[in-house]
Amino acid sequence: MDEQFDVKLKKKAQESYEVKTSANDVLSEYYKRQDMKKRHNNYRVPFYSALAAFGVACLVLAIYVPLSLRKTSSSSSSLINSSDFNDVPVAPLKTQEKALAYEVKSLYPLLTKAQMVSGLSEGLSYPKQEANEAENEAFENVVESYENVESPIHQAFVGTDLAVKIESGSFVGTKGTYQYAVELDDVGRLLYNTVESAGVWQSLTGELVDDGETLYTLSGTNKVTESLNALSLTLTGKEGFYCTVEQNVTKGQFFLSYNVYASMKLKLAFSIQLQQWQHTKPAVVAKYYFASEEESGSFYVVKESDTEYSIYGTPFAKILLTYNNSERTYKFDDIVITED
Amino acid sequence: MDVNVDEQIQIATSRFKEDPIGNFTPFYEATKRKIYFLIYSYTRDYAESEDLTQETYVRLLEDSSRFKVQHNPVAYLMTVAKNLAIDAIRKRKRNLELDEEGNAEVIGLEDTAIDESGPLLEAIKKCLSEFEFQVYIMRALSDLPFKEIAKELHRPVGTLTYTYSMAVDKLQKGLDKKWMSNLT
Repeated sequence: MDEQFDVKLKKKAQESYEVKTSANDVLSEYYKRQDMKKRHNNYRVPFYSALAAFGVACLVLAIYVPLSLRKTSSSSSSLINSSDFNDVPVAPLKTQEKALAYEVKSLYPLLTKAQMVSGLSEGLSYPKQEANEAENEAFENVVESYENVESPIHQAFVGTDLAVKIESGSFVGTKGTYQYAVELDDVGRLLYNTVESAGVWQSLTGELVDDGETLYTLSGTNKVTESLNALSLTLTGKEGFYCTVEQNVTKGQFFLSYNVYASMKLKLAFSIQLQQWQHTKPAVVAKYYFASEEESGSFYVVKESDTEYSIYGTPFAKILLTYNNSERTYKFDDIVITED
Repeated sequence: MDVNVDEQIQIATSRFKEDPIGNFTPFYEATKRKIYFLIYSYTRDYAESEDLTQETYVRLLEDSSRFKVQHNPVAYLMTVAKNLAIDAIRKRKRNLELDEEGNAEVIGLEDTAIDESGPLLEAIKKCLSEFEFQVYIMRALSDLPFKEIAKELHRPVGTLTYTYSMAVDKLQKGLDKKWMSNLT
């Protein structure tokens, strides 16, 4: 390829078309739609407020009830009963090293997703088949909410059985020299120092490096109790982006709560508890809160097989989530959304 | 991607997050070509891409308080842009299917755009296959790194770099003399 030609042609092609839509066009259209919404609301609020409330109730029932009652393909019950969920009998993360590796691996995708500036990180979300528009939109919203907590939920199912190989020596990062290093698949190399008491970590500091570049800095404390240690970590990126994870052993054998911050403001808080459904299948109960939208809710997720999971706790009686490598397919009857 | 463009986008994005309406214009100016040509790479229609670009940004403003937008407005824009473009293509195909059944005239079949403001792009389009043209537009005009194009098109990066290189070679050999005189 002739690179000079490529550069000249690219420049010429870029100059050959100027986008005609202006920022003012967009703002005008935006204000127009906002006005229409306001006018629409103003007409109705004083006179039809009772009727509107009734209408909303009808709409909720019209969507929720049929969705709850629709048959799903799995043989499992489509209605959730929270008493069917029990704590796992033993803590899956048995050592402080495993807890560290696990927690860093679960924070990493949350932070990278939060602070990525360009690129199609959200994946394609598009219903493959047309169905009722309101139902489609409701389903898209549920999937959108789930996608924000999908990676730590999935990791709770598949990522606790870690083979962690700690190297000991002198490792130079960009922020200092560290005594320990560990390779974390799909994440990078974690360098860290610990402050210990009788072999038990009290606190730690470190950095996550990849190709000689520091991606994130790490700090953590370890709450030591009689039977278990609870590790809390903060992974910090740039421009006020950071994530925290806190292990709470008083709430369960595997209970982690996460906070995601952007520009130093809380954006998302959620907790994950690894459980068992009817003492037979692995399950995760996730409770979330989106700060900017003041929206909260729960997902009850049951592992049906290595690639199939059932999601309960939404207006959709049961959503089937299927993994094909990194691609995730959410299905409720004939509505399908694929993300990657 | 050009470093200056990338930096401009980062700065404009940070400001947009602080005040989406007040800082919309610089954000729009920094990102509009990326979004417009991403849409165009699918629709291959100038006017339709203009409409969809406007719709994409209006949705961004409408959703500006939502978690996804607050976290990564550019990624949100690209997702919406792509979905709107694919939706538009699907609508066209439905219209075309109707036509094959003899029920309606052909509406919006690709390559029907007549817009004299982009004759070089028309010449480029004629030289390349559909896939080569899409890769070329995404890389050269939308300024997407190959890694992101790979995510968009679900193809390996190696295939895309090869396709792009082949497209440039084809253009060097196949473009009309009136363009080549300015480029060599």
